[in-house]
Amino acid sequence: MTREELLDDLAYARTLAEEGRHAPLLGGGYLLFWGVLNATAFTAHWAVLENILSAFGNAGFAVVWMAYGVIAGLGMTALRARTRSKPGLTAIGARAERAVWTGAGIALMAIVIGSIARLIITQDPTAPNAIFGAAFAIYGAALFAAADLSDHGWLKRFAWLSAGVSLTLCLFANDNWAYLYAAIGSLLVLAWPGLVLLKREPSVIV
Amino acid sequence: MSRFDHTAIDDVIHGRLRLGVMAYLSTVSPAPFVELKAKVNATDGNLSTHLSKLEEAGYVRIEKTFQAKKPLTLVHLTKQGRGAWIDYLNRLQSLISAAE
Repeated sequence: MTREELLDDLAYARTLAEEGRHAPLLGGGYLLFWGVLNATAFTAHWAVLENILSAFGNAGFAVVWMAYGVIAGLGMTALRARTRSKPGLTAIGARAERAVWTGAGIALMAIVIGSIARLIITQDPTAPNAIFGAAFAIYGAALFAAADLSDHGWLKRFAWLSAGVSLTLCLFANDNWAYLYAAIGSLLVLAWPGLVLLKREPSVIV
Repeated sequence: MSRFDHTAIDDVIHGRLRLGVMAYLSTVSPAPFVELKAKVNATDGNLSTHLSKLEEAGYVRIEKTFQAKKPLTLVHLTKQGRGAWIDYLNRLQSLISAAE
Protein backbone atom coordinates (compact mmCIF):
# COMPACT_ATOMS: atom_id res chain seq x y z
CA MET A 1 0.00 0.00 0.00
CA THR A 2 1.40 3.36 -0.98
CA ARG A 3 0.99 6.72 0.67
CA GLU A 4 -1.11 7.89 -2.28
CA GLU A 5 -3.50 4.92 -1.93
CA LEU A 6 -3.84 5.70 1.74
CA LEU A 7 -4.58 9.36 1.05
CA ASP A 8 -7.16 8.30 -1.52
CA ASP A 9 -8.85 6.03 1.03
CA LEU A 10 -8.82 8.83 3.57
CA ALA A 11 -10.46 11.19 1.08
CA TYR A 12 -13.16 8.58 0.45
CA ALA A 13 -13.77 8.14 4.19
CA ARG A 14 -13.89 11.89 4.65
CA THR A 15 -16.49 12.27 1.90
CA LEU A 16 -18.75 9.68 3.51
CA ALA A 17 -18.33 11.10 7.01
CA GLU A 18 -19.14 14.60 5.70
CA GLU A 19 -22.25 13.32 3.93
CA GLY A 20 -23.53 12.25 7.32
CA ARG A 21 -22.33 15.43 9.01
CA HIS A 22 -24.08 17.68 6.48
CA ALA A 23 -27.20 15.57 6.00
CA PRO A 24 -30.36 17.65 5.48
CA LEU A 25 -32.40 18.40 8.60
CA LEU A 26 -35.75 16.66 8.89
CA GLY A 27 -37.62 19.12 11.09
CA GLY A 28 -39.04 21.19 8.23
CA GLY A 29 -42.45 19.52 8.32
CA TYR A 30 -42.71 20.11 12.07
CA LEU A 31 -41.76 23.80 11.81
CA LEU A 32 -44.19 24.38 8.96
CA PHE A 33 -47.00 22.58 10.80
CA TRP A 34 -46.51 24.45 14.09
CA GLY A 35 -45.99 27.77 12.33
CA VAL A 36 -49.26 27.51 10.41
CA LEU A 37 -51.19 26.02 13.35
CA ASN A 38 -49.98 28.68 15.78
CA ALA A 39 -50.70 31.45 13.29
CA THR A 40 -54.25 30.14 12.75
CA ALA A 41 -54.90 29.76 16.48
CA PHE A 42 -53.51 33.22 17.33
CA THR A 43 -55.62 34.81 14.58
CA ALA A 44 -58.74 32.97 15.80
CA HIS A 45 -58.00 34.06 19.40
CA TRP A 46 -57.64 37.66 18.23
CA ALA A 47 -60.94 37.35 16.31
CA VAL A 48 -62.69 36.16 19.49
CA LEU A 49 -61.13 39.02 21.49
CA GLU A 50 -62.38 41.55 18.93
CA ASN A 51 -65.84 39.90 18.72
CA ILE A 52 -65.28 39.15 15.06
CA LEU A 53 -65.70 35.45 15.86
CA SER A 54 -68.63 35.49 18.29
CA ALA A 55 -70.48 32.27 17.46
CA PHE A 56 -69.43 30.59 20.71
CA GLY A 57 -69.59 33.62 23.00
CA ASN A 58 -67.16 33.47 25.91
CA ALA A 59 -66.53 29.80 25.18
CA GLY A 60 -64.84 30.90 21.95
CA PHE A 61 -61.37 30.84 23.54
CA ALA A 62 -61.90 27.32 24.85
CA VAL A 63 -63.15 26.15 21.43
CA VAL A 64 -60.11 27.65 19.67
CA TRP A 65 -57.57 26.13 22.03
CA MET A 66 -59.28 22.74 22.33
CA ALA A 67 -59.33 22.50 18.53
CA TYR A 68 -55.66 23.54 18.61
CA GLY A 69 -54.85 20.69 21.01
CA VAL A 70 -56.68 18.08 18.92
CA ILE A 71 -55.09 19.20 15.63
CA ALA A 72 -51.65 19.40 17.29
CA GLY A 73 -51.97 15.82 18.55
CA LEU A 74 -53.12 14.45 15.20
CA GLY A 75 -50.52 16.45 13.30
CA MET A 76 -47.64 15.28 15.48
CA THR A 77 -48.71 11.65 15.08
CA ALA A 78 -48.80 12.04 11.29
CA LEU A 79 -45.47 13.88 11.20
CA ARG A 80 -43.73 11.26 13.33
CA ALA A 81 -44.96 8.50 10.99
CA ARG A 82 -43.75 10.50 7.98
CA THR A 83 -40.29 11.26 9.38
CA ARG A 84 -39.61 7.73 10.64
CA SER A 85 -38.79 6.42 7.17
CA LYS A 86 -36.67 9.37 6.03
CA PRO A 87 -33.01 8.77 5.21
CA GLY A 88 -30.59 10.61 7.47
CA LEU A 89 -32.90 10.33 10.47
CA THR A 90 -29.99 9.36 12.72
CA ALA A 91 -27.45 11.77 11.20
CA ILE A 92 -25.71 13.80 13.86
CA GLY A 93 -27.38 17.08 12.81
CA ALA A 94 -30.87 15.59 12.69
CA ARG A 95 -30.35 14.04 16.13
CA ALA A 96 -29.16 17.35 17.54
CA GLU A 97 -32.18 19.08 15.98
CA ARG A 98 -34.58 16.56 17.57
CA ALA A 99 -32.93 16.85 20.98
CA VAL A 100 -33.00 20.66 20.91
CA TRP A 101 -36.67 20.86 19.88
CA THR A 102 -37.69 18.19 22.39
CA GLY A 103 -36.10 20.31 25.12
CA ALA A 104 -37.81 23.40 23.74
CA GLY A 105 -41.15 21.54 23.73
CA ILE A 106 -40.75 20.60 27.40
CA ALA A 107 -39.90 24.22 28.31
CA LEU A 108 -42.93 25.48 26.36
CA MET A 109 -45.22 22.94 28.02
CA ALA A 110 -44.06 24.12 31.47
CA ILE A 111 -44.78 27.76 30.57
CA VAL A 112 -48.22 26.92 29.11
CA ILE A 113 -49.26 24.79 32.11
CA GLY A 114 -47.99 27.40 34.57
CA SER A 115 -49.79 30.24 32.80
CA ILE A 116 -53.08 28.32 32.49
CA ALA A 117 -52.84 27.34 36.16
CA ARG A 118 -52.38 31.02 37.03
CA LEU A 119 -55.44 31.91 34.91
CA ILE A 120 -57.57 29.33 36.75
CA ILE A 121 -56.28 30.05 40.26
CA THR A 122 -56.08 33.85 40.16
CA GLN A 123 -58.81 34.43 37.52
CA ASP A 124 -56.32 36.72 35.79
CA PRO A 125 -57.40 36.69 32.11
CA THR A 126 -54.08 38.16 31.00
CA ALA A 127 -52.06 35.29 32.49
CA PRO A 128 -51.76 33.29 29.20
CA ASN A 129 -50.38 36.38 27.44
CA ALA A 130 -47.06 35.62 29.17
CA ILE A 131 -46.71 32.59 26.91
CA PHE A 132 -45.97 34.62 23.76
CA GLY A 133 -42.72 36.28 24.64
CA ALA A 134 -41.30 33.21 26.34
CA ALA A 135 -42.36 30.98 23.45
CA PHE A 136 -40.62 33.08 20.81
CA ALA A 137 -37.51 33.34 23.00
CA ILE A 138 -37.45 29.53 23.22
CA TYR A 139 -38.02 29.18 19.45
CA GLY A 140 -35.06 31.49 18.95
CA ALA A 141 -32.82 29.52 21.31
CA ALA A 142 -33.83 26.22 19.67
CA LEU A 143 -33.29 27.56 16.14
CA PHE A 144 -29.89 28.94 17.12
CA ALA A 145 -28.74 25.70 18.77
CA ALA A 146 -30.07 23.54 15.91
CA ALA A 147 -28.36 25.81 13.36
CA ASP A 148 -25.04 25.63 15.17
CA LEU A 149 -25.03 21.90 15.89
CA SER A 150 -26.15 20.90 12.41
CA ASP A 151 -23.97 23.34 10.44
CA HIS A 152 -27.03 25.05 8.92
CA GLY A 153 -25.92 28.57 9.77
CA TRP A 154 -28.66 30.27 7.74
CA LEU A 155 -31.18 29.19 10.42
CA LYS A 156 -29.54 31.63 12.84
CA ARG A 157 -31.17 34.54 11.00
CA PHE A 158 -34.54 33.13 12.03
CA ALA A 159 -33.26 32.72 15.59
CA TRP A 160 -32.46 36.46 15.74
CA LEU A 161 -35.80 37.27 14.15
CA SER A 162 -37.53 35.15 16.78
CA ALA A 163 -35.66 36.96 19.56
CA GLY A 164 -36.85 40.27 18.08
CA VAL A 165 -40.46 39.07 17.98
CA SER A 166 -40.09 37.87 21.58
CA LEU A 167 -38.81 41.25 22.72
CA THR A 168 -41.73 43.18 21.20
CA LEU A 169 -44.28 40.66 22.43
CA CYS A 170 -42.98 41.02 25.98
CA LEU A 171 -43.51 44.77 25.61
CA PHE A 172 -47.05 44.58 24.22
CA ALA A 173 -48.28 41.22 25.55
CA ASN A 174 -51.63 42.50 26.86
CA ASP A 175 -52.69 44.34 23.68
CA ASN A 176 -55.19 42.51 21.51
CA TRP A 177 -53.18 43.13 18.38
CA ALA A 178 -50.26 41.21 19.91
CA TYR A 179 -52.09 38.02 18.88
CA LEU A 180 -52.05 39.08 15.23
CA TYR A 181 -48.42 40.07 15.58
CA ALA A 182 -47.65 36.64 17.07
CA ALA A 183 -49.50 35.00 14.18
CA ILE A 184 -47.29 36.81 11.67
CA GLY A 185 -44.26 36.00 13.83
CA SER A 186 -45.15 32.29 13.75
CA LEU A 187 -45.29 32.32 9.96
CA LEU A 188 -41.96 34.14 9.71
CA VAL A 189 -40.03 32.31 12.40
CA LEU A 190 -41.41 28.77 12.12
CA ALA A 191 -43.32 28.23 8.86
CA TRP A 192 -40.83 30.01 6.59
CA PRO A 193 -37.67 28.10 7.65
CA GLY A 194 -39.84 24.98 7.83
CA LEU A 195 -40.74 25.37 4.18
CA VAL A 196 -37.08 25.89 3.24
CA LEU A 197 -36.03 22.76 5.15
CA LEU A 198 -38.89 20.76 3.67
CA LYS A 199 -37.78 21.61 0.15
CA ARG A 200 -34.25 20.39 0.97
CA GLU A 201 -35.45 17.16 2.56
CA PRO A 202 -34.34 13.99 0.78
CA SER A 203 -37.18 11.77 -0.40
CA VAL A 204 -34.75 8.98 -1.29
CA ILE A 205 -31.19 8.12 -0.36
CA VAL A 206 -28.74 10.08 -2.50
CA MET B 1 14.00 3.57 2.96
CA SER B 2 10.42 4.68 3.56
CA ARG B 3 9.21 4.73 7.16
CA PHE B 4 5.70 4.01 5.89
CA ASP B 5 4.56 0.75 7.52
CA HIS B 6 1.08 -0.32 6.41
CA THR B 7 1.03 -3.31 8.81
CA ALA B 8 0.27 -0.86 11.64
CA ILE B 9 -3.21 -0.27 10.19
CA ASP B 10 -6.29 -2.04 11.61
CA ASP B 11 -7.14 -4.60 8.89
CA VAL B 12 -10.70 -5.02 10.11
CA ILE B 13 -11.44 -1.41 9.21
CA HIS B 14 -9.11 -0.97 6.28
CA GLY B 15 -11.05 -2.62 3.48
CA ARG B 16 -12.40 0.02 1.11
CA LEU B 17 -16.02 -0.88 1.86
CA ARG B 18 -15.54 -1.34 5.60
CA LEU B 19 -13.73 1.98 5.69
CA GLY B 20 -16.76 3.59 4.07
CA VAL B 21 -19.11 1.87 6.52
CA MET B 22 -17.12 3.06 9.54
CA ALA B 23 -16.81 6.60 8.16
CA TYR B 24 -20.54 6.89 7.53
CA LEU B 25 -21.48 5.34 10.86
CA SER B 26 -19.20 7.81 12.62
CA THR B 27 -21.78 10.52 11.84
CA VAL B 28 -24.97 8.49 11.24
CA SER B 29 -25.62 5.78 13.80
CA PRO B 30 -27.72 3.72 13.73
CA ALA B 31 -27.96 3.71 9.95
CA PRO B 32 -30.57 1.59 8.18
CA PHE B 33 -29.00 -1.19 6.10
CA VAL B 34 -30.52 0.15 2.84
CA GLU B 35 -29.18 3.65 3.53
CA LEU B 36 -25.70 2.29 4.24
CA LYS B 37 -25.85 0.11 1.12
CA ALA B 38 -26.65 3.12 -1.04
CA LYS B 39 -23.96 5.26 0.57
CA VAL B 40 -21.11 2.78 0.09
CA ASN B 41 -22.49 1.56 -3.24
CA ALA B 42 -22.53 -2.14 -2.31
CA THR B 43 -24.77 -5.12 -2.97
CA ASP B 44 -26.78 -6.74 -0.17
CA GLY B 45 -24.49 -9.77 -0.01
CA ASN B 46 -21.27 -7.81 -0.14
CA LEU B 47 -22.33 -5.40 2.58
CA SER B 48 -23.60 -8.25 4.78
CA THR B 49 -20.24 -10.02 4.52
CA HIS B 50 -18.30 -6.93 5.49
CA LEU B 51 -20.71 -6.05 8.29
CA SER B 52 -20.25 -9.56 9.70
CA LYS B 53 -16.49 -8.94 9.92
CA LEU B 54 -17.05 -5.64 11.69
CA GLU B 55 -19.61 -7.27 13.98
CA GLU B 56 -17.21 -10.11 14.86
CA ALA B 57 -14.63 -7.50 15.86
CA GLY B 58 -17.26 -5.81 18.04
CA TYR B 59 -17.16 -2.59 16.00
CA VAL B 60 -20.79 -2.63 14.91
CA ARG B 61 -24.03 -4.06 16.27
CA ILE B 62 -26.79 -5.23 13.95
CA GLU B 63 -30.35 -4.75 15.15
CA LYS B 64 -33.24 -6.40 13.33
CA THR B 65 -36.55 -4.74 14.01
CA PHE B 66 -39.86 -3.83 12.38
CA GLN B 67 -41.17 -0.44 11.29
CA ALA B 68 -44.78 -0.15 10.17
CA LYS B 69 -44.84 -3.98 9.93
CA LYS B 70 -41.85 -3.98 7.55
CA PRO B 71 -38.51 -5.51 8.55
CA LEU B 72 -35.81 -2.95 9.24
CA THR B 73 -32.13 -3.67 9.81
CA LEU B 74 -30.22 -1.03 11.72
CA VAL B 75 -26.44 -0.89 11.98
CA HIS B 76 -25.06 0.71 15.14
CA LEU B 77 -21.49 1.84 15.66
CA THR B 78 -20.49 0.43 19.06
CA LYS B 79 -18.42 2.26 21.66
CA GLN B 80 -15.57 -0.13 20.85
CA GLY B 81 -16.05 0.59 17.15
CA ARG B 82 -15.85 4.34 17.67
CA GLY B 83 -12.67 3.87 19.70
CA ALA B 84 -11.19 1.68 16.96
CA TRP B 85 -12.18 4.25 14.32
CA ILE B 86 -10.43 7.06 16.23
CA ASP B 87 -7.35 4.87 16.75
CA TYR B 88 -7.37 4.03 13.05
CA LEU B 89 -7.48 7.69 12.05
CA ASN B 90 -4.71 8.56 14.50
CA ARG B 91 -2.60 5.69 13.18
CA LEU B 92 -3.12 6.83 9.60
CA GLN B 93 -2.23 10.38 10.49
CA SER B 94 1.03 9.34 12.15
CA LEU B 95 1.90 6.99 9.28
CA ILE B 96 1.36 9.70 6.72
CA SER B 97 3.33 12.18 8.79
CA ALA B 98 6.18 9.67 9.19
CA ALA B 99 6.26 9.03 5.45
CA GLU B 100 6.52 12.73 4.59
